Amino acid sequence: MMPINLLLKLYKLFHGITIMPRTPAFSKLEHEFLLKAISTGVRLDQRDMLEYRKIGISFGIDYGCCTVEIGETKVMAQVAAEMDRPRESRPSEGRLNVHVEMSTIAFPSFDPTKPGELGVGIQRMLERSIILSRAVDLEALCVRVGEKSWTIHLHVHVLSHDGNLIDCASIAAITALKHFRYPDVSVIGQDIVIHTMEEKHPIPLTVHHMPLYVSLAFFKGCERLAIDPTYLEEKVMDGKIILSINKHKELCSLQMNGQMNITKEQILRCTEIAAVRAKTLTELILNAIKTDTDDKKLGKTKSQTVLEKSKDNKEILKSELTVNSQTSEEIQIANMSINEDAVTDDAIKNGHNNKTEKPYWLTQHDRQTCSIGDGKVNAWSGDGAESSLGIFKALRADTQPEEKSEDENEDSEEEVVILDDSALET
Amino acid sequence: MAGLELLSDQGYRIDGRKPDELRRIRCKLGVFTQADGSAYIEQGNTKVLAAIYGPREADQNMRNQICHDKCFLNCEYTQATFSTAERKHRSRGDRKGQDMSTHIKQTFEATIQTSLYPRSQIDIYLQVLQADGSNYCACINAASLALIDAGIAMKDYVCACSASLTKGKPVIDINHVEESSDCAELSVAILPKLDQIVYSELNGRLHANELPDVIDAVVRGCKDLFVVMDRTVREHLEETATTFTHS
Repeated sequence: MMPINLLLKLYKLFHGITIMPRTPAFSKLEHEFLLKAISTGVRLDQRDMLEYRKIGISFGIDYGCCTVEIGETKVMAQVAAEMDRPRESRPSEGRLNVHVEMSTIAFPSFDPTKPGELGVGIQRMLERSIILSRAVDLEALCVRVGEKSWTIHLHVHVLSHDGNLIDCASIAAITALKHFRYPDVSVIGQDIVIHTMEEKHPIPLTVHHMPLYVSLAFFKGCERLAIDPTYLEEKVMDGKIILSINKHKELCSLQMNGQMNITKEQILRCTEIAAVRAKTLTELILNAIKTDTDDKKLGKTKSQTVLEKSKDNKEILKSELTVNSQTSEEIQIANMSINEDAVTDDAIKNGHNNKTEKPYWLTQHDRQTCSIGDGKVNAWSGDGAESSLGIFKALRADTQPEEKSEDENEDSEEEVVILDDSALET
Repeated sequence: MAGLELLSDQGYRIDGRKPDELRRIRCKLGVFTQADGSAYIEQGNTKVLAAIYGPREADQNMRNQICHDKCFLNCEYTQATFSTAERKHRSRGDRKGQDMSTHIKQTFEATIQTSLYPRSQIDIYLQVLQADGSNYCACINAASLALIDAGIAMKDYVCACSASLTKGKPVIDINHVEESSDCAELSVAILPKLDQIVYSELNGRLHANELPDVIDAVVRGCKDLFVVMDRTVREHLEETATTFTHS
């Protein structure tokens, strides 16, 4: 039984066609294993069939920037406002444009130049649920009828793809829109004056309702239903039903993807499940926005991440991350809370939200660098190296502030990895 | 358009139909000679042409999609520039067209018995000549007839219909005026004999409690449509059969 890569190379040789498998090949064995597990009601990450992964919402420094993570799937949404002419067919309304970017950092087969079917799908679905359902009041964005109105640009960047992109994107989009504030405007005769943030408080957008997408995947001829599918589950599913619903139980969009034949009762049942889900999500979002707004009022530059706790405890946890003023633009990652003071020899304690301690082989060197194990002695730095920690000196905080080690890798279960110094020189 | 009532007090819509009435449907199979299968459908003022090529060998730029155990579908949806009230040029790969193509492709991937045609490609080309609401539904119906004309194995007919909710009553087979109003629009494609929903799409806002009524109405509309389509196919078959026997 030859491995797949070797088979592909042979095929290439014989047929002279370039095949570039940009995604790792998915074996039939994995496929069957997943389906078998799901048919007995077991998912790969031991969730229930109707259980969501952990959701984390965090905000940036400016209003309108929001990052949402559902498990490993991460999507960032950023809202920007621009003063422009309104559309000819609707002269008394502002505009809302949705742009979706699928870059290769999210997934190897994403092409940044073309959004592809997935990208176009996400964009159309967001447009449908937000614009067509009149979630945002566009008439309030008009400044002068027929001449000037605000155009709101919603940029959605997919940062990591591990299934269920549309849910993540919709939470990020709605949260960003609700969080966003645009500058206040006064019309004095013929002039339109846009006030800066310091002169007058910026105004939040009027969001009438918050439509959130919920995806449910069907397996094995629609016998089994799973909410929030991961990437692997999406590969083996028959299809999914995607609903956009708000907390008032109003459906804003309903779509089926994939090859499945379902009955009306199944659709109605999915609607019930989605309605419950949307309600809890709406509370989480409003809570997150409120926490962030309060923090901003207090002038804290800290950015908090509001996480949903696991199913034992229904409360919402908060975890604080310190924001380095240089790196304020960067996205805060909820998992690694690196405490400046507690740099120890071995384990990094993250007492806030993770129940398990960091493994002993994960060493920390300074605020932004850590590694697996200790590296070799650095022949370049000579003496004067700080020492009590691991010996890995190629990356120092003062010389290269932005460079992050590539070993922030918790799930490696291999033994201590000794990294070659030459690979780290820049 | 503000003064236009979508449903009058006597229960008539703008074009004089009752809420559960379909528009006039005319369809014809075998309109093109070159294509393997073709069909033309008129639903009221919405006119759609469908052409099917396949199953055939995959062409060069689609080589990477070949499956060893089933055929893959390629769908292209285009709307003519003269199809709407205002002339609007739509480029080939525009988002709405791409979105529509993806949905139609998914609908047929669930219906065509793809395992019978390994390593091949089936192309579905749809051209909307006049768009007066329910574009997706007319395209599905046209493609379904064209696939039957091409003799490609399917699980069942695919019939699609659209519905909306006006003044608490579900109205089916909506036209452009009803579509552009603020009401929700639900398009559903079903397999009529198997009574299964293959594709559904909802635009606009609809309360979850109103959903069952709208789905029921739209499924009834699809089944009525099926009767018309079935009759057309049988008539077409009788015609072609007589030409064979008398030649």
